[in-house]
Amino acid sequence: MAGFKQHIFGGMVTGVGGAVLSVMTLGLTASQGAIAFILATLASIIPDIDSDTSKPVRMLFGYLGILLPIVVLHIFYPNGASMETLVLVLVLGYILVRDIISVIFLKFTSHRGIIHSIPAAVICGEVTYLLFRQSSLKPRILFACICFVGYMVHLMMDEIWSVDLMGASIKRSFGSAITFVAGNKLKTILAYLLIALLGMLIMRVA
Amino acid sequence: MEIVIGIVCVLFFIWLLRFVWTLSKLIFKLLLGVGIVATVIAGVLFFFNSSLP
Repeated sequence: MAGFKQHIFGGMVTGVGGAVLSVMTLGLTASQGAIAFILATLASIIPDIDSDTSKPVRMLFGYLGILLPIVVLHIFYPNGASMETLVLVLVLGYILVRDIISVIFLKFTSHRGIIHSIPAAVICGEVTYLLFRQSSLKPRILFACICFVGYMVHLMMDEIWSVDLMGASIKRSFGSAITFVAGNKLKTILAYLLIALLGMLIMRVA
Repeated sequence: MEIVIGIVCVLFFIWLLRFVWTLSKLIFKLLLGVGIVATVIAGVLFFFNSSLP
């Protein structure tokens, strides 16, 4: 299994590729290209969020603790919130995500479970699309796709690192990343239901 | 001497078979992953070349 540094590197390479493609070929702005780079890098470490002890878990829930309250403020207070509301939502949101949601999430997920699968990558893309629903269609599609690609790069790197070619042997983890199903059937069904639900939301937004 | 060479050849052949089998499994998985990613990128390029707002 590839380490944190390899995944970050893979995500950054994907991000640079996506940013260059979006700015040079697809006609997006430089700031949108920069967001594409950040999203690809973030998406490439998201699959390790189910690891109980990994560095990305602490990092990701830290980032999410900052980002999610901002998204919530943006949705519920589009015309700006008062200073008291701002501080309250940011502090409570950070504590809620970092110390409560992360604990619940880690309790219900296992490493190399449904989070390390193709349906999870699709969910990641769909959520990104919905998060940027106030942007125009082009950047929205691009951000969703670049998140999906960053996620898939992580899965592919995990598969490559699961194989010892010179020893001609395969580790037990091989095949658990690029897969359409998880070991737990219930989680797999829930993942596909979530894909369908998010797909319906996307249809409504679009 | 021939026996030693024979054993080495057999061992190498077994290793080669395992190597090819391992490589083929990896290539299959990567083809699946790369295929999906390539399809998504092709879809994006196709949509962007059409008249989207």
